[in-house]
Amino acid sequence: MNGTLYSLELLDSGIGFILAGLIGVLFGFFLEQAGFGSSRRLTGAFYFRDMAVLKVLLTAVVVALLGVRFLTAFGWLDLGQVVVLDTYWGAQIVGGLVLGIGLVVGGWCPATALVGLASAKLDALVFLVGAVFGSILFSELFPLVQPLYEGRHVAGLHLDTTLDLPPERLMVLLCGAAVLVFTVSSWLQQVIGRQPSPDPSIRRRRAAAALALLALAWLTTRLPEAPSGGTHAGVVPAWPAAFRTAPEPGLVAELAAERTHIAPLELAELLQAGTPDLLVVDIRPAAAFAQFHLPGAINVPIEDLETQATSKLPTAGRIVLVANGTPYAAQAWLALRRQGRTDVCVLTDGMLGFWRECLTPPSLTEAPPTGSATAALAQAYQARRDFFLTGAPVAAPDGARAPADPASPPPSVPREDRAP
Amino acid sequence: MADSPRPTPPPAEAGSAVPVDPLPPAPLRPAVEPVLPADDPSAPPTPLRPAVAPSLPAGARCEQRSGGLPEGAEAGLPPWSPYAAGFGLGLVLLFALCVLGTGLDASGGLARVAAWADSLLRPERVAASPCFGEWFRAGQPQVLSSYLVFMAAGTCLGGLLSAAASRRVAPMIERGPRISVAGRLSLALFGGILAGFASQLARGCTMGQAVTGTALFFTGSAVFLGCLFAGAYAAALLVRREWR
Repeated sequence: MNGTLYSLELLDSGIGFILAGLIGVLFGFFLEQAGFGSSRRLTGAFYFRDMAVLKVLLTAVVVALLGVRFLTAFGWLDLGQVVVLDTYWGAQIVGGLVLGIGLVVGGWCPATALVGLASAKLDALVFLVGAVFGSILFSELFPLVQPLYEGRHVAGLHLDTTLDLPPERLMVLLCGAAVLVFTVSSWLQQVIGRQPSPDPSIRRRRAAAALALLALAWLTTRLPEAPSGGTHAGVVPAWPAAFRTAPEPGLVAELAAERTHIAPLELAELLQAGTPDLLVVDIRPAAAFAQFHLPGAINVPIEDLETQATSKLPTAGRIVLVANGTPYAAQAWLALRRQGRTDVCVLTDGMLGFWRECLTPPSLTEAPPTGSATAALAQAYQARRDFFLTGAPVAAPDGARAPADPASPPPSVPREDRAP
Repeated sequence: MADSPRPTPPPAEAGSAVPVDPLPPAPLRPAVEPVLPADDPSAPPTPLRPAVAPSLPAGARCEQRSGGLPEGAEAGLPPWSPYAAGFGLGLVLLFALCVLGTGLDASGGLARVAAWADSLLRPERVAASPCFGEWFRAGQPQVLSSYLVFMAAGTCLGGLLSAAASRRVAPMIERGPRISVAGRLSLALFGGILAGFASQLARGCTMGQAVTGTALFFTGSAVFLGCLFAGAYAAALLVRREWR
């Protein structure tokens, strides 16, 4: 298992679109075969005429519940790579009640209405138009409902924690409860809904299926590794990350293409050439910036970056983040990235790296040049020193010779990067 | 299909006109009838799909098409057993969890379509919204280029394939025998608004939040599933007229 598209942040890429579309086709197929292209059949459950909704949903839950348990035990599924649905008590209780009302009044839920639309049901189309309006209404009323939407939040809360039961026992209990609900709903359908009781042969088959289900549930208690809790631990990404704000598209590809970093020498060349639309953003404290900084750089200390990003940074053009080392700049990169900036990169090894690679005489580097390259490199080095250190408060003597101790950077630079 | 036997075609009077008493505009009028559903055994069972041609003007007197036609001929093949269909859905959900790492969802795609449609009409307003505006920030991909939109589109396509294969594509407005077309459609619109709002509030719909989350053992999703059925059974008492 190399990871799910969610964990690889590839959901909103071509492969994600294809697979999600394919899974949607299967989803729609089974919904339609369940008879959910009909609002009369859907709502039948709430008048005990046809309990299909309850049975279909509960069967799907139980199958997925057992499936997840077996797949994780065999190592084919890693719950750390699966979305986490946080608990928001208020939003989910109110949302559940309102969605239930909408289901009966409208005759559809969003997914079944799509299937109803495919079956040419005009009421499904009207329902979908309503659902679009409802979504817009939510966006319009968002400031009003925000406390409910975000309040009473518990990240990654699991049923076994809430009920204080061992997960193995809870699994058996849930499967037993499902069998009970199946039986009772069939009975209600006959008694209140006045539907004929099924064939004895069908009833025997269902009893066998129920026994098989309970046997499988019991089997999960014999499986290695706790079914939940343990495997979920340490999973941070939550539903809002995947649902509300789009996950960063193609992030992994971008990292792989090394577009997120810029090497000191490359930056030096760009600055010396006077590249337009390139802004160096120095995120070190103001004091360090005042002592030494790259020409043209602006200073936005990292603690102010989130708040001042929109006011101080231009909306277009490339941004290079510079700290003393890499880690702080990488964090700043992430912060800007989450704000929607795409053309941002980090100066590899920061100021220290820049000093070592660009402003140290070639003869003093770890691998001094030899042969014909020496002269050209020395010349490039001198050009860089002239460009970057002119006016800098460094006592660098002019001339062809390097200063007495050129390897040591000016006093402001070598401040060690604080541990992130 | 033992679980949902074909209702026998209703005797003579079911083929007659639907009562011309359209539901008043107020959508949630409490039922005046007694509450128990099974209180009227003399009433003939209503057909599963009383079909009404959608071209009829709203509120017009309209005949049910079922007169003389066997129910099956109109509705195509009977649906699968709910357990078989639920089993299939469970497997698709498992597949989605393994491959995508997320569950099945329709409301997320719908919300993006809503945001997109809204942005065509009022771009500034949407861009400034703290909710939909998130999808229109600089650097974000186009609002419709989301896997959720593709999943919703796939759901529609899968439904069409299945319905066509089972001869269940039939233009109609489904409703109970005691409600007018206009009444049914206004309730469908109102229910849609509620459902759209609620699935945004709860971060998912029946499938995306309730079933997916419960299968993953999440407390909030299981509570959501319970509340969904509680709300539905309570509301069913109020709109009996729409369906029975």
